[in-house]
Amino acid sequence: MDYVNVNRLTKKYGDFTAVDNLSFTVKKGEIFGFLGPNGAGKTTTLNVLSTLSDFDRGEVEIAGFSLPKQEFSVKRILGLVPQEIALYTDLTARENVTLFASLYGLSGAALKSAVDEALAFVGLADEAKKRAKKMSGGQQRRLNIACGIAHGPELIIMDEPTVGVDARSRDLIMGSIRTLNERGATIIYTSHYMPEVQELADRIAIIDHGRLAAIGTEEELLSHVTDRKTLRVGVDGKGDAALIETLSRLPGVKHASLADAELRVDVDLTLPSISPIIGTLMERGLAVKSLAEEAPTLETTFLALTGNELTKEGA
Amino acid sequence: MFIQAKSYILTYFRDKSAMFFSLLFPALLCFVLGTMLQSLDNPDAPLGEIRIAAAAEGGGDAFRTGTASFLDALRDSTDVTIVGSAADADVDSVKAAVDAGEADAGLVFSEGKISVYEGADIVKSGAVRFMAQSFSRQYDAIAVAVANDPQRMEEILAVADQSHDGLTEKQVSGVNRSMMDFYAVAMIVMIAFMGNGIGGASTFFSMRRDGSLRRITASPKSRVQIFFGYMLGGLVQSAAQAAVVMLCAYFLYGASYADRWQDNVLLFCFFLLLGAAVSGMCNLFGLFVRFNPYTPLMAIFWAMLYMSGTFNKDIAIPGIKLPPAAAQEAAFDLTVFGRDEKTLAAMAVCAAIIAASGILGSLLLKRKAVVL
Repeated sequence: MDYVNVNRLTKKYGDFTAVDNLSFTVKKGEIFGFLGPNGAGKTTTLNVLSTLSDFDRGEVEIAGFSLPKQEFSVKRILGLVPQEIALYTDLTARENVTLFASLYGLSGAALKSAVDEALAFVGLADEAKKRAKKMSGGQQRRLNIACGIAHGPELIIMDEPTVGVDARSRDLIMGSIRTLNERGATIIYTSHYMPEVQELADRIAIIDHGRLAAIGTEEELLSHVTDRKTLRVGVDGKGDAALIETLSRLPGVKHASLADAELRVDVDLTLPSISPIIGTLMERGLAVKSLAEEAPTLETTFLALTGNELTKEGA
Repeated sequence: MFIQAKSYILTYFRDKSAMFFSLLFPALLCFVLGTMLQSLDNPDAPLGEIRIAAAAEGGGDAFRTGTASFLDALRDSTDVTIVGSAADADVDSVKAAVDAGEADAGLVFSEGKISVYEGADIVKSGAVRFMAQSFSRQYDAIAVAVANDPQRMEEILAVADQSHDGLTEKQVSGVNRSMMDFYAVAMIVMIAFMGNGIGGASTFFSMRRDGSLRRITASPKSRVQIFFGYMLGGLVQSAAQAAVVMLCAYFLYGASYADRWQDNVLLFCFFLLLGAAVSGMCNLFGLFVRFNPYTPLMAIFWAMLYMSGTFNKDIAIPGIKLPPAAAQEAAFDLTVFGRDEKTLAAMAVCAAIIAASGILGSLLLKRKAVVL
């Protein structure tokens, strides 16, 4: 059953088309990953789904309610976790959650219970009386989530909820998202951190220039890339931008990047020989320590579809 | 609506800088000004006894008669003492009495002219000068009338012999005023503009910046409720500010404001509405602009307050009454003269501004692009 149905959505800002005939569906109870480079139209799409932005053309339906006509019905079932830490920093954790939950009509014992549950859910029950500004970045992120989910929304839109958090907070957040999903919430999730999306999402949509580049499960997306493979070359020595540019110009090389003494080169499957690559490295005085071939990953797929590296932009 | 108001109020009362600038700073200002001004002018305080050394030399019958009548009237006054006998004194003895501090001022009546010798106390000397000027003008008028029709002299003398009950002294206002009465009102007006203005403008601007406005507008609350909720918060802030300054000035320095408690309640309500109106307009401004409104608003408000005489009691541009000046005038009209017409009119204007800001703000907030 399609819970979210976006059909030929178009949104323009003056002459700039931020979202161009975008169509996708999200099933009820699904974690739906939303990927795209900066400026791809992700945030605009999320704003439309969150009822925060109008659109120029197309149809958007959430839980059977049509936007913008039945906007208030959509708002009632929606939980928003924005990328910004949207909190009242002078208020305590409890006051923040209480405030945002009460916007959805909760009051009295039901409100208190919902607030307690949300704080416990994100591991902040012991910090309930702490002011938001006194919390660590990770705690603020978790509180940001608690504020978006306390009222028990059916659909939760999470825009980069783990930006800038430590590993422990990231694990806590990831765990809580899975639990929310297990309890029946449908989640639309964006992140610049590819492994998160791979780990969480049932299905993933990749958008670029406001258009849908690909959609499906991880396996389905990987199947889009059948023309390339990745070479992982361990090197001894320092590479630079000039080396990457030289490698990228070699016949059959689609993309090259260097990080932590490992060179990753995406090449055509039909590449007859890797000698030009090795030769270039040796000319630059870089010794090859190891060489391995890797099947396409989601990162490679994203790169192939959008021409951009996701993690580099979001880092 | 009360949820937004509550969040605004909680945030306001916990924000140390907001507390400092809108509550502690005015209270400190009250303390500093009150201490500084305590010993200074008290415009309605009695001058006390005024001692006048007088000498009457020569002049015609009419002048002598008028002079004697004037000095008798001064002697009858409980606040004035005529030092020595005017008939026996001369210019030198008058000057000597003033120089020696035996008299606050000297008056010499000679040949139709009055000379005033001023002593060290400029306020008392000034009072004597005004008395003499008043007499001189009156005498000139009589002299002209008599010169044209000598028969009228008898009529005038007959009138002069009658009792002088024509002048009835009335207290203009029942309480004495101190400088704190002026500054407390001026300070509340200042805080209404600075505190509510900056607070109001920052509300939506900072909420948009930190994303909480997105979260709030994504909720099922109507945008009218959201905007009016924050305006309600501004009203509470306004009440707190006015109460702090009014009570501080009243209890610490005896500022009395209006005579009647009903007028003081009206004054408080006026300040409340004034702050809320400024807050509402600035809410709107903060929602409308994309830059930090703090700096331009500070500059505008300081300039307006300065030109309205809030700091120096002078209106910078004669004929142009800026909002702070109009607010101060309305408040002073109520406190000094007990007249509430201007205050009620100003309250009506504030109420209209609050309503208009609320409607415009709600409409503006309905434009989704404003939130993002």
